[in-house]
Amino acid sequence: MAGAAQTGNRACCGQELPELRPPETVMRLSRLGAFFPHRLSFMRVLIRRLAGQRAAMTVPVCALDKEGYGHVVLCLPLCGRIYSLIAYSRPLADDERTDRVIATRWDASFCLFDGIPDEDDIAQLGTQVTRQEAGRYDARILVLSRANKSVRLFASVVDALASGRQPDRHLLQQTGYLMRTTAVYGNGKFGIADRDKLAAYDGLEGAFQAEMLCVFLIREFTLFLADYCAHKKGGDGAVRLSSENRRYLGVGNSTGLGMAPFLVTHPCLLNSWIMAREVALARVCALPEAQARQLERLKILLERARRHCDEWQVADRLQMQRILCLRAELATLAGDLDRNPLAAALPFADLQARTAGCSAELQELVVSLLIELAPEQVDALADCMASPLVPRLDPSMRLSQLSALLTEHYSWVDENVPDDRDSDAQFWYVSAAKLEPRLGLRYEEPGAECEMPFNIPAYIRALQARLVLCDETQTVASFLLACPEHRHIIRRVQSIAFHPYGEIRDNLVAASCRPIDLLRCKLSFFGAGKFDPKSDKWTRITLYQGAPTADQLASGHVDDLDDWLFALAPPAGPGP
Amino acid sequence: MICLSANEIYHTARKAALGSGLAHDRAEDIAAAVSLLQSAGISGCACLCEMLSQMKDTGPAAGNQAVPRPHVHMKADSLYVENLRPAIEGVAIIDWLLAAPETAMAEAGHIEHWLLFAGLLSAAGYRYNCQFSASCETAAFTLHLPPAAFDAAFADSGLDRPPAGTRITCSPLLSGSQLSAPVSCHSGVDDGVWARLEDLASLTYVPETEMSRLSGAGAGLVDND
Repeated sequence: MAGAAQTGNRACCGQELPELRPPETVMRLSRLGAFFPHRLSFMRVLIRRLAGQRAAMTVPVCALDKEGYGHVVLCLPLCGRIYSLIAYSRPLADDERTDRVIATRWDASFCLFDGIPDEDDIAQLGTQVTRQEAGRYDARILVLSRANKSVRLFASVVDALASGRQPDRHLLQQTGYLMRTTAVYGNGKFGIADRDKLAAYDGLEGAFQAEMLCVFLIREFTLFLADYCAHKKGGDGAVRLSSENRRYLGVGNSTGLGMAPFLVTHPCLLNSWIMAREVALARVCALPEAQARQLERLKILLERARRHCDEWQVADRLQMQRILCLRAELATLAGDLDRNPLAAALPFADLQARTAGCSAELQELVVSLLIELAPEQVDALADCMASPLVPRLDPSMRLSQLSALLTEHYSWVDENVPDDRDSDAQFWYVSAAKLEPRLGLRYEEPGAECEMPFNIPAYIRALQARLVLCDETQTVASFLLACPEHRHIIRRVQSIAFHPYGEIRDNLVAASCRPIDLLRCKLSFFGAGKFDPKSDKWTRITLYQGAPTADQLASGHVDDLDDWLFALAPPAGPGP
Repeated sequence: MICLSANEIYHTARKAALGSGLAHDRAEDIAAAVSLLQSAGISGCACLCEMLSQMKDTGPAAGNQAVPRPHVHMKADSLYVENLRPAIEGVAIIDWLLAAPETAMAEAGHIEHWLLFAGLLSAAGYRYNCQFSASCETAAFTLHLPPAAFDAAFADSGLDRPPAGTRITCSPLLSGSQLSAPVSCHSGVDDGVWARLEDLASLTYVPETEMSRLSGAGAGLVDND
């Protein structure tokens, strides 16, 4: 009984699986760390839904002073409910501005409110939201967030608009956002609504949809604030940010280690994300022939990807090397496609095959391109990306079956040399300082006794060593009476058998582990682009860059509004 | 009384259990049971607090080491437990029954922290779509977990402590029938209970050092760009 009820691993969204790239290939850190945003990214899913409903944003409350400090309420309908972003803007000294979790003050603080807040709500929440983690909230609050200004760009944009001209294109391109969020909290944190509540709301049932909605409205707030400050400064001579510039500007985000453990502790959810993307890829590659519109679209997207990568500049030496390699490979691929058209049969499988031997960055960029070509094969998969399943023990399993699972799914642990200090040089833990997740050096820092259970290779080896001493006809339940210490890893192994993309097949505590790869994987599913690593532990990114703005949502065509993969800087042009 | 989200309760309960020395799997199961009880209007946090306060303060479980073996006696398909501790023998009994539903049986002399064990049985019932029965013929006692409606009214009327010698069995639900767990929701917890759980949870946090602060993500950068 215990095993039979697990979700089968030969189906996705109730349909038989096509042939997929194996988890041994996909679930490597080096590949996960090369993912790009794609059609199934959560921001894309949200924007498609908002555009389909022609959602019209309103600003019922604007209580800002001439410097832009005060509060604003932005309301947006989704599937028949109104959601409100309450934004509190406050002065912040330069020496208090930090993106770290341990910050206590910010340029702006936000909450996503279920419904429309009244004056008392706004006043009461103002005393809490501006303190973020130190505040207390109730289930009417769906998401909590805060952001800091990109000081130079914000001031420059306001000055330009106040002077009656559009901001400098190169400055916009260098930063790409007016503010960057430094945390976005959901799922019950500090008393806000649980995920279960949101799962019952049409439009928010998908993965991270409430958080994505909040960030979308934060982006609208940053645009509103810039226009507002410019108007206060320049009076009637001020101009509004152009629609091209508004669309180009996204929301920045600083993401540190906090995001990484989530992928390890939610293997069923991770599997559902990766599985959907891999199924999408496989379906597109299985298309027997290409339609003319698909080939035309591929050409457009490939050219856009090339220009996007040309605009993608980072200070991080390793990432910049990868970008340079990617640019060269993209040029080669484009030239190859000009000279040698795709095969008439299985054309998109042909395209994927042409990237074999190229960098993981190119291969994964092409995955994003391919998924874009057949929305009818892909978009419904978004409904499968919010798995409610959690790892579950199958106590009826025989030890022989368990050993077979270890052989099938965990042979990668043999790549690590046991007893080598490099193989467990790091440990993941939660710091007492604002509960910031951190990565410590096991042999240099205290605290390893409190580590998160991420040393998977060690647990697997310990289990294997014990299993060889046991009667393999024994059940897991019987085995655990004598060896209860292995229950946690057995539950994980059994779950991975049904959720094969749920395990990252690399050593997460090795000296060589780069957490930035985990961050990029998760952020790509959010829809983030322009990865800008600041170390191997954190990165800045841009969210919603190129996405339609709220005023465009209400009037544009859904297909046009959904076309924002690989955003490009607006062309240089005359002023307003 | 503090009003808390189900997720806050789950994670604080899990960390409090870890901080008290339980292994990760046990801590997760106990936390799920506590969260379920709270969402049903039953004071699971108070029960957990009581259980953890009676545990020897061993500190956080290090990796998968030092997990106590359950004290059970096995005879054919039956397990016998003199004193059932929810996180140790309780978890083992549930695994045992799930491995061979309808044929396996467990018998407990004394059950500690009965409410918490009832939460564990109910959480497992929802997860595996099965129902556990606790019964004692000599005392005319029978209880099914999870019940048809798991709420505070059930707790008031139906969660009597089972007598010594209670037998526990497990039956899978008929094909097509599905138990639905209470929706996770906010619930109230006594301030003192919550403070104690948070204290225990804090044992899983690593005190900050200058080195860890300087090596944290984002350290050392100027953010006024």
